[in-house]
Amino acid sequence: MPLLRLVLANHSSYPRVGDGPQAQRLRRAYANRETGKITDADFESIARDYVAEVIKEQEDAGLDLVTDGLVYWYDLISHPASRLDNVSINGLVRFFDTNTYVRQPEINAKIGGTFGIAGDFTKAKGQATKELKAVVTGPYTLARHSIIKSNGDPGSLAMSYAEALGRELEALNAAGATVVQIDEPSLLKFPGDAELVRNVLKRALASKGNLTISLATYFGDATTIYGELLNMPCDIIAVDLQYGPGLVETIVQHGSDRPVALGAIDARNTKLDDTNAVAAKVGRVVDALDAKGVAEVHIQPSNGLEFLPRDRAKRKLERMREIRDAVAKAGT
Amino acid sequence: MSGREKLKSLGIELPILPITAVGSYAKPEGLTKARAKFVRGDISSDELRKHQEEATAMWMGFQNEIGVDVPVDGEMYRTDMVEYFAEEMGGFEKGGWVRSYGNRYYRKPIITGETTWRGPITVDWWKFAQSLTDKPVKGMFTGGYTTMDWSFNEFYPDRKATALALAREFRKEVEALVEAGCKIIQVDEPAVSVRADEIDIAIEAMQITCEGIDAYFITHALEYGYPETVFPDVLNLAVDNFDMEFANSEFTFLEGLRDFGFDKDLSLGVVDVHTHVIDDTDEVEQRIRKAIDILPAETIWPDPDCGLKTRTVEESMGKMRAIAEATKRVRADISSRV
Repeated sequence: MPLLRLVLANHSSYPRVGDGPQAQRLRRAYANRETGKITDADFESIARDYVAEVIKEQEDAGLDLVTDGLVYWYDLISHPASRLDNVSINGLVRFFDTNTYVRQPEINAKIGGTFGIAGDFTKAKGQATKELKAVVTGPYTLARHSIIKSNGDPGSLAMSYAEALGRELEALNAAGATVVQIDEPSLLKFPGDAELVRNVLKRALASKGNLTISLATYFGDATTIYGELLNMPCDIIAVDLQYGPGLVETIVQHGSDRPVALGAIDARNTKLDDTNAVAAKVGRVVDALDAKGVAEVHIQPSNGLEFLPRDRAKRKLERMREIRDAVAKAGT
Repeated sequence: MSGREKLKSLGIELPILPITAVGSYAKPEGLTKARAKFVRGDISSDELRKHQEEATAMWMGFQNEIGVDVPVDGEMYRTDMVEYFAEEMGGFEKGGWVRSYGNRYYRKPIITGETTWRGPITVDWWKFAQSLTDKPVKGMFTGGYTTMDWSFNEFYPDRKATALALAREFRKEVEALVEAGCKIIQVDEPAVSVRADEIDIAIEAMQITCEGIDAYFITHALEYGYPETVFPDVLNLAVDNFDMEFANSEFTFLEGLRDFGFDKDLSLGVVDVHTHVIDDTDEVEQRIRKAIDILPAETIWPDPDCGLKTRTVEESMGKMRAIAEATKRVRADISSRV
């Protein structure tokens, strides 16, 4: 039995629709608010109820670390960016290799304000009986999806977003958050910018206080930059195991000085992951990190669950519990 | 052979700056209600078909009225661009809802067996639309690479095997369209620009589907992404015309297209389909003029950025009217200079 704790965690988002009128109520509420058929207060009531439902679904699946499902998010870029001062939201751009699109922010003057995630967190906090993780898109990924004017560059824009993230972390601290996941999938697309990302995070995390910060990379293979991830100023390293066949062995060889969150479940395909095969991979990492005295390994989906139909997302979370049980059993 | 020469060899003469549409138009309220009734089992498939034909006829009449040169049937019969084909083919199961963007969702199909073409999918609708106009109606379907990318796969060993298997089946649809008399065929492949590392798969899939068949091929392949990441390799897709979004991205890639030695025809997206605002005709005119400053006018086909199904009927019409009016102004200017 490993000494380290195996934590079942959600990654970030959760499907916002499902089959049947009840599971479609949030979608209808968004549409009805847009056309003025319901008030903001009506919408808020439905959205809060939906947040409670997705948190309960995660808790029923046995998760230790849940999220609010990012129910309020229009998308992973424009939701946080639209709440900042001096940022306007423009046209659509495809989000990585997914068949989803995000709206691009454009910076019109010095960025002010926060991403508003602390407000989302506060609404969800009372609904969770398990630890609630806040999720925020990282400064570098925001910069990479923003419209950059001719006199701008991703680096300086990322630094501006980092200052906003710093203010957000202060607000999250004040709201009672304990764990915050910062999503930086763009780092895998531009691995040469690892130093820039490190500096950006250093600036943002100066105000992190007691928060536990998880740095999440996904939609790509982190094998070649795993060493760089170990140098990032974060408390948990989250990786996507669905891309690189060599990533598990890389983690085993390099080890880690802090908890690692393994994106062990494929959140991009409906096919149920093979319990024994995934448990074997997770077990390899658990054994290696347990020997190094690492306190926790998280088992989580590879990325947000919004890329799956709701029934499959729920089933995948249940499969995570089966995998954890298989890992624990193998370790006894 | 240039695009125009190929079209001529097929017996098609088009004016300068031929106006077209990408594929879909907004479904009228009557059809939307009929679809809901059909899903509930309140009306028969024959009754639904009647509504679909009425809506198709309405859009064909509208396109004739405003002077669309290569009209489309408007896809009144489709759910979405992958789900519809998955429902008509073997090897797919109906999937659940997943998000496209914002509050837009679609049912993403699941491949659970060998994918098979069970018979013509779009041909009847193409024939129906063609019977309502003397203009050449575009045949349209979603290609193998995008159908693979926008489906869950629980059967094939990898993405390449999935895409090529689908491409082989879709060739049968192309052959059926050509046999019916269709000469301009659009293979929708919007997923192509997403993964540069898989461009060879997309090229091979398109070859399997189209190569050696006597028709003028368009691909709607480059939208809302980073087209520069797949250039110049993407030019090896076996088509005559690339349909690209430009209005949404403010024409940022147009000069890049020239710099990459683009030598195909270009269906030029000149109205943004993701806003309720009707594009200003003067602005649309400027967009067309900008394009013909960079690429030969005889290669440009003005159209919307993408399908108009997410807009209302009025918005769809307004945007198409803006294209038609702006194109006519530019055409008049070109002919006065000749």
